[in-house]
Amino acid sequence: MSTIKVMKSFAQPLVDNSNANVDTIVSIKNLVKRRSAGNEVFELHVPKFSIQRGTFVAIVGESGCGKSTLLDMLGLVLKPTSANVFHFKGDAGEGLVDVMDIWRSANERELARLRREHIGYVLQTGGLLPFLTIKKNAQLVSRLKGLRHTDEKINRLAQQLGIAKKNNQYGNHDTNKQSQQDNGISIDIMEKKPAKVSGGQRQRAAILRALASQPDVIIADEPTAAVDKRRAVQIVSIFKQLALSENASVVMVTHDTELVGKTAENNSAIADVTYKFKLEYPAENVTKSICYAVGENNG
Amino acid sequence: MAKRENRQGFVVLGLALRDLWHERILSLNVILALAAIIAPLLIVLGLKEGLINHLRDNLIEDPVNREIRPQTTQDIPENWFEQVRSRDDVAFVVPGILRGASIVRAYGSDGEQSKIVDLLPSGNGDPLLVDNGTDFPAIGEVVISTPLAKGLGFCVNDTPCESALGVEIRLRVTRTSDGQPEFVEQMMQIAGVLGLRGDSLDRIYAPLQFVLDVESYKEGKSVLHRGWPGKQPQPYPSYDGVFILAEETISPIERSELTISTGFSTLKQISHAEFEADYGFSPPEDFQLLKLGVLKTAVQSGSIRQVANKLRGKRVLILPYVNPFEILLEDESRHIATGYTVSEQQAQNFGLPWVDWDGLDLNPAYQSFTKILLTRNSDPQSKISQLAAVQSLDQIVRFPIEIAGKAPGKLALVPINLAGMLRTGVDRRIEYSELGQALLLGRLGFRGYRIYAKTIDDVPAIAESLRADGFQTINKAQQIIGLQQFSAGLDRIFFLVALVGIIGGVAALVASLYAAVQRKQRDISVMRLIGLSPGEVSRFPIYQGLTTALMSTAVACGVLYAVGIVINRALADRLSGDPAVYLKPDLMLVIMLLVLTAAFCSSLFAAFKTTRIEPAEALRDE
Repeated sequence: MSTIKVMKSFAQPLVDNSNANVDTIVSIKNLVKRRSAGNEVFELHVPKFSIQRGTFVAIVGESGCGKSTLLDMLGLVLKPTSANVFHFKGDAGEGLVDVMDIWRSANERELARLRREHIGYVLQTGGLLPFLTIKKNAQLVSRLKGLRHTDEKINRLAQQLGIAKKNNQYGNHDTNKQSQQDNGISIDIMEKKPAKVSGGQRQRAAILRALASQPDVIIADEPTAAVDKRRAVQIVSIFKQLALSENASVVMVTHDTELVGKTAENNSAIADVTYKFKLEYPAENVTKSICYAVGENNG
Repeated sequence: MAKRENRQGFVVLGLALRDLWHERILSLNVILALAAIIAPLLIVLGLKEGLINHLRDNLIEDPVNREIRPQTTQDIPENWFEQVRSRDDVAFVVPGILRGASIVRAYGSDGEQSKIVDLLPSGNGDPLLVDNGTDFPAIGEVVISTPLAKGLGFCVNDTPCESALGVEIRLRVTRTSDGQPEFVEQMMQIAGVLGLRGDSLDRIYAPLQFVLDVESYKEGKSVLHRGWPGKQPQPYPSYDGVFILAEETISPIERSELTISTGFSTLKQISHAEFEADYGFSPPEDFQLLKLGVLKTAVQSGSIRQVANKLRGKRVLILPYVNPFEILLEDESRHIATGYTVSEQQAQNFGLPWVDWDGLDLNPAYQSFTKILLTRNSDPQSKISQLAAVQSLDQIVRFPIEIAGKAPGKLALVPINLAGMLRTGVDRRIEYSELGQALLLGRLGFRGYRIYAKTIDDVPAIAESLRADGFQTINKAQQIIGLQQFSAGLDRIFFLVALVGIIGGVAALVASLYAAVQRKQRDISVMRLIGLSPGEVSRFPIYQGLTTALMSTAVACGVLYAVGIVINRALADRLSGDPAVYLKPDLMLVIMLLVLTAAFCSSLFAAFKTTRIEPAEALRDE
């Protein structure tokens, strides 16, 4: 296995993550996904893509540009048509995984294992199992991964996300750890089922579920599409904060450039790296979308 | 890895159960729908089991249902009973005698009141007695029916009648001999009182031998071992033919006359050498020698008289003979013997040797004719008087015989009278009575029987096999076959009902589980997304199917229990307390396993469907 070239430019250490190692979790070179529907051919080209540990990667684009397709491939649920390099490296000393190899051998179990152990998911409307309470949803992923004694951690994260009361029955010990931010939400929704809570709460719960399995990467697909702008900013910013404090990277797809870029409230952008798409039409009925990194962040 | 597998399996089981609970109204719907199919099946099966068991127990419990009796009186040879007894499906058989041939007068406990009662033979293990809770009568004992016990005052109010046990009962056997009434009496101990179900008439069950003794006495015979006086029927002599020694020629016409209504059927002239070979001597050469014989049935003295009549006026000697037979002596020497007797006069007249033993008297003294001439000089060590053994039907008759000397030919010789009696023993049983010091004619087989099959299911086969042998029987085969058919019919009905039910249940479950998977496509894809493999999520509908089926069966069992109480209460009187609806626990277990198997199969379609759900579907929202 060739060593993965660390792309320094994307690996800016963060202020609150100063001790994080600079290592690459996902590394992609010359990935192509071809889709055709009738006469129409759509090609997504990703010449270079990588996710560094402890970074917030934004994938921004209009609908139809292939951002969700890219996310599916990053989330290990969609097989790329081809790729020169598609490596995945989790922690726990597992070493490099050649994702293309697994796809070629159609090893569903191995893909499931990688998803279970390394990836967390936050979907547009949460993607929580409706028949489990928020708490059970969060516990489910940690149980699937085989983690033990995670209740306290889940409770702490939930408090930080503002969906569990502080010093409530979930806290076995009063740790006196204050969440950095008080979101002013004092409702405890941990014992509720997803259908019984508001959209914003559900997205916070989804973030909780994604964090609960202590993943390397969290894949988030328009996680704030269903909430208003003000709450979306709040949610994304606490999402980033918690993810980075848990040493997890975030890949978030959004069509909303403002959400991840610089805002009036935030003088620094949420995204450490932003990828965008450029559409080309090399032939009739052929759409080619090229994904590229935008180096405007963190400035 | 296996541990991880297990954990994932438990997680899926937990998810499946939580989802059922989450959609509890829908789940309840399906559970009740399935229960509505399973419950009637259980009730029908329970009814079938309960009712059939009740009817069956009833039939089994009362030995009368296993009894096979003759429809008409028939002569049944003794060895037939051995044959029946050796059958695997026969539990007990006892011979019977003519109804009324063993009637006795039984006297009550006060010695005065008496009743005329029929005696029935019984014996060791008689199910009629044993299965009705009574001992069978041993030698010197009888079992009496309840009406008789009450009628004679052996017991008054006690039921079961226990005060009669061990008490002696006086039985008087009467007969008329030469116009004069005679009787003998016998004391027997009451070994048991047969309940009303076993017999509702005045009746005494006694060991077979006693019944036969009573029969013999009533027929005028003596029963020596009981000291009952009477005649001793000796075996009549019978013959296989006669030799005719004629001084003058018997014409062909006269010859042919000899086989006309005399009982003889063959006639041939034989050579003197032939005669001599057997007997060791022969009449003078100038005598014509004819042999009159039978094909099968032996002739008796009447036939010989008729031949004598036809040859009246001629100078002939009619010499009866029997076919050579085997005789075994006490010293284990085996001899082939025939009979030979001539008077001293005849010996002189016809030039034959005279043996000094009985003539052809009708009732010679035993010692005068039980003699034998052996073909070789008797061993000087051997006793003069020995026991001889001869086959009579299926038994061996042993009787004392005196070795009287050496026979001249190659056959041993006994007096023709003895040979004739032993020849009769080929067709009828003869026995030697030590008490009477006489060969006696045995009884002519039996006139009836009581057979008990091992189980009621054996009755039809035994009855059918007896019918094939020419014995028309009275038995409960019709009822038993009826029950068997009823049971088989119910089996078929149940099978059909079950088939329809199972098809319906499986269809309902298949549809419900498939629809659920369809509905939960997104949830299942989320499960796939968060790291469950296709194999793992496929268990989701399987667990749900099994759980639903299990709950449905539980509900159905509850319904069965409730309905069972109602039905059992309603039918309690008719079934004398036996449950009408009843399922054995092991049958319940089998049903449970069947239901689970059906549920498992039903969920496979839905399970397959889950494996087709892609995790990417979860990401592609609405």
